[in-house]
Amino acid sequence: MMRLLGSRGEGRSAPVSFERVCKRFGAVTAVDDLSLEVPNGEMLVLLGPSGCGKTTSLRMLAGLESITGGTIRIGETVVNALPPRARDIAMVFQSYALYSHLTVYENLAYPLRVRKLSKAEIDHRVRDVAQVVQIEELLDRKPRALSGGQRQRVALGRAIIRRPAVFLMDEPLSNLDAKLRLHTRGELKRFQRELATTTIYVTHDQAEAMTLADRVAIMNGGVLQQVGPPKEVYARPASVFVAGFLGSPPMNLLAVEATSDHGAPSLRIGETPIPAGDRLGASISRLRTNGNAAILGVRPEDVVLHRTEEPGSVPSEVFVVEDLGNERLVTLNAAGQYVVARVHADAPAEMGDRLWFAFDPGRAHLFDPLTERRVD
Amino acid sequence: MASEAAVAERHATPAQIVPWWERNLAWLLVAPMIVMFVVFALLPSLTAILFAFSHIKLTRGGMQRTFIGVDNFQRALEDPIVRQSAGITLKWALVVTTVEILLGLGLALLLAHGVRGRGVFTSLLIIPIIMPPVAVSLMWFFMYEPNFGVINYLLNQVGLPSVLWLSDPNIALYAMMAVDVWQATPFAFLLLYAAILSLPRDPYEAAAIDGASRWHIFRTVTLPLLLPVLGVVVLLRLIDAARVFDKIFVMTRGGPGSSAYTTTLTVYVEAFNKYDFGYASAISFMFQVVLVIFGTIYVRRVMADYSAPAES
Ligand SMILES: Nc1ncnc2c1ncn2[C@@H]1O[C@H](COP(=O)(O)OP(=O)(O)OP(=O)(O)O)[C@@H](O)[C@H]1O
Ligand SMILES: [Mg+2]
Repeated sequence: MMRLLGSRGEGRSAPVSFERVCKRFGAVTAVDDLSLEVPNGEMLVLLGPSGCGKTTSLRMLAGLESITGGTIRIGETVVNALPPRARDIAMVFQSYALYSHLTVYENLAYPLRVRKLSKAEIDHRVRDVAQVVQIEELLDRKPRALSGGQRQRVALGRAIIRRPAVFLMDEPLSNLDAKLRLHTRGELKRFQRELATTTIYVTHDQAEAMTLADRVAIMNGGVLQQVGPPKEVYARPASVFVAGFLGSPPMNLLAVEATSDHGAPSLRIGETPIPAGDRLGASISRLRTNGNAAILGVRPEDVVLHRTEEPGSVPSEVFVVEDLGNERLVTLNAAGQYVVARVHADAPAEMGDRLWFAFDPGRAHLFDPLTERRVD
Repeated sequence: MASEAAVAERHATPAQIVPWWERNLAWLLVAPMIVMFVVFALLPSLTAILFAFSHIKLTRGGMQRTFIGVDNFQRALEDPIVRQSAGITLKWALVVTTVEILLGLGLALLLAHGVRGRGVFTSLLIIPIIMPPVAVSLMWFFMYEPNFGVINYLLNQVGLPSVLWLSDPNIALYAMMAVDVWQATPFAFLLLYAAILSLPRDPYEAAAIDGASRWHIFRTVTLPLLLPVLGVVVLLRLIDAARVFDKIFVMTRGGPGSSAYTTTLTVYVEAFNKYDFGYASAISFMFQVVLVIFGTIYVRRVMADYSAPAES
C-alpha cells in the first residue's frame, strides 16, 4: 500500500514553528507562551493530561482558532491570519468531524473532489486508503452506521488521503481497541516515515507517544514542559511534572533532605541517611534552595526490596501488592510517603510486611522543590 | 413519618384516597378539545361527505337532501371552472412556495453568517407572521389602490406609470402572490434560520481544512444538512399555499372575472353564491383528497430518507 500512497517527493512537506504563541478564552489561558520548532518531516507528539491545551495548539496551527499572541509559521509563511484552506494541512479531528450526510467513500473522496482530481484517481486513492485504515467493507455506509472506532478510522483515512505540507492528528487512535490500535499505530508510523511529511500528533497515551514520536513535547496547564526524543524525556525528565507523568507507573517522587553544607553532600529520607554517590552528590551541591528540602525521583524499576535492614535502605511497610502477571507492583508506605516498586512476579511481598527499600543513587533524579525543575 | 404512612395508605386503597377527578384527570384535560373537534371538525366533515353525494335544495325553514351517488364528482371533473381553478391553485402554490423558500433561505444564510443588527431584523420579520391574514390583505388592498395607493404613488414619484394592480387580470394574481410572499417568507426564514444555527460546526471545520470554497461548502455541506428541514418547510408551505382563500377573497373576490379563482374560491362561490352545497362539498372533498395523497407521497418519498434508520 505504501508504494501508492507514499510516492516519495510528491508531498511538499514543510517545517512548523510556534513562536511565543498564546491563546486565551476570556479568562482561561489555554496555551501560554508556546515556542516550538518542528523540523521538516519530523513526527512530533504533543503529550499531556486532559485540558492542557493540546487540541487548542493544533487548532491554532490549523487556523480554526484565532491566535491571541505570537507567531505561527508553516515553512517560511506566517500563517497567523491565513484561512485553513490556505495552510495546506490535513487534520484528524478529536471529534472525527465526518460529513454525516455522505457515505464513507464520499467522506474519503471529499478532499480530493475539492482539488478536482480525476474520478479514476480519486477511486484509486480512496480504495487504497480504505485498505490502510481497514474500512474497505464500510465504504457504502453513512457515518451514523459506524462504531466510534470505525468513524475514527474514516477520519484518519480522510486526512491521509491527501499529501499536505503538515499532518495534524488529534488523538486519532483513542477509540480503537487495543489490537487495532497497535496495528494502526504501526501502519501510521511506517506511513509517516515513508511520506516524510511533518506530523503533529496529539495524544494523552504515553505508550503511543513513545513509540510514534521522533520527539515528544509534553504540556501541562497550557505550558510546554519539555521537548525531546522519547528516550531522553524518559531518562532525564526536566520537571517534577514530566517525571510524574511519564512511565507506568510513573516515577516515585520523594520529599528528601539534601545538604551540602560542609562540602560533603548528604541525603536523608526520613531518618535514614543515604550515601549520595558522585553523580547525585554533584547534583545536590548544585541545588540552590534555602533550607534542605529537595524532591528525589526514583523509577519503580530502580527500587530494590530487602527483607532485612541494609545500609542505605529505608524501612517501610507494604501497603498494597498488585500482580500484573509477569511482574508485580509493590506499593510501600515509608513514614507517610508512598513508593512503588516494580519487581519480579515471584518476589515475596504481602500486605503489611515490613520491608526495606533501596535504590542506586546514580539512577535517581533530583528536583528543586520551589521551581520543580530538574537539577543536574 | 406521617407522609410515608399516607403514601402507604394511598397505595393500599387508591380508589378511596384519590378523588375521581384525579383518577380521570387526563380525560378531563383533553375533554374540551375532544368536544371542539367533534362539533367543529368531525361532524361538519362527515356532513360534507354526506352532502357530496347528495343534491341539496334549500327550502323555507330547512333543506331537502336527495341522494344522487357520484353525480357531483362527475360534474366537477368535467366543469371547466373547476379545472381552471385547480390550475390556478397549483400555480399559486408552486410560485409562492418557491419564492418564499428561496428568499427565506437567502435571508437565513445572510443573517446566520453574522450580519449586524440581526436581532432587530429577526424581530421585524415576525410582524408579518403575527398579523391576521385579513388585516394583511386589507393593508395591501389599500396599498395597491390605483389612485391613492402608496405603491402607485411611489412609482409615480420615480416617473413610472400607475399600474392597475388588482384589476388587471394579467397582474392581479401575481400582485396577490406578492402579498403571500410578504407574509409567509418570514416563516420559511425563521425555520431555516433556526436550522442553520443548529447545524453542527464540525463538518464546516473539516471542509475548511479539506480546502473547500464557501460555495462548495454551501453545496456539499450546508444544503444536504439542511435538506430535512427544507423538506418540511416546503411541505408546510405548499399545503398552506394551496388552501389560500382569505387574501384573494378580501382583495379581489377571485377576480378580476374568474382570473384568480383558486379551488377554495370556487368552492365558496358554489356554496354561498349559488347555494349548491352538494356540489361545493364534492369539490371540497376532492380537493382534500388530493392534498392528503400529495402530502402522503411527499412524506414517504422526499422525507423518508431522513427519518429512516441507518442503512447497512
Ligand atoms: N472554545 C473554548 N472556550 C473556552 N475555553 C476553552 C475552549 N476550548 C478549550 N478551552 C479550554 O482550554 C483548555 C485547553 O483545552 P484543549 O481542548 O486544548 O485541551 P486538550 O489538551 O486537547 O484536552 P483533551 O486531552 O481532553 O482533549 C481547557 O481548559 C479548555 O477548557
Ligand atoms: Mg483535545
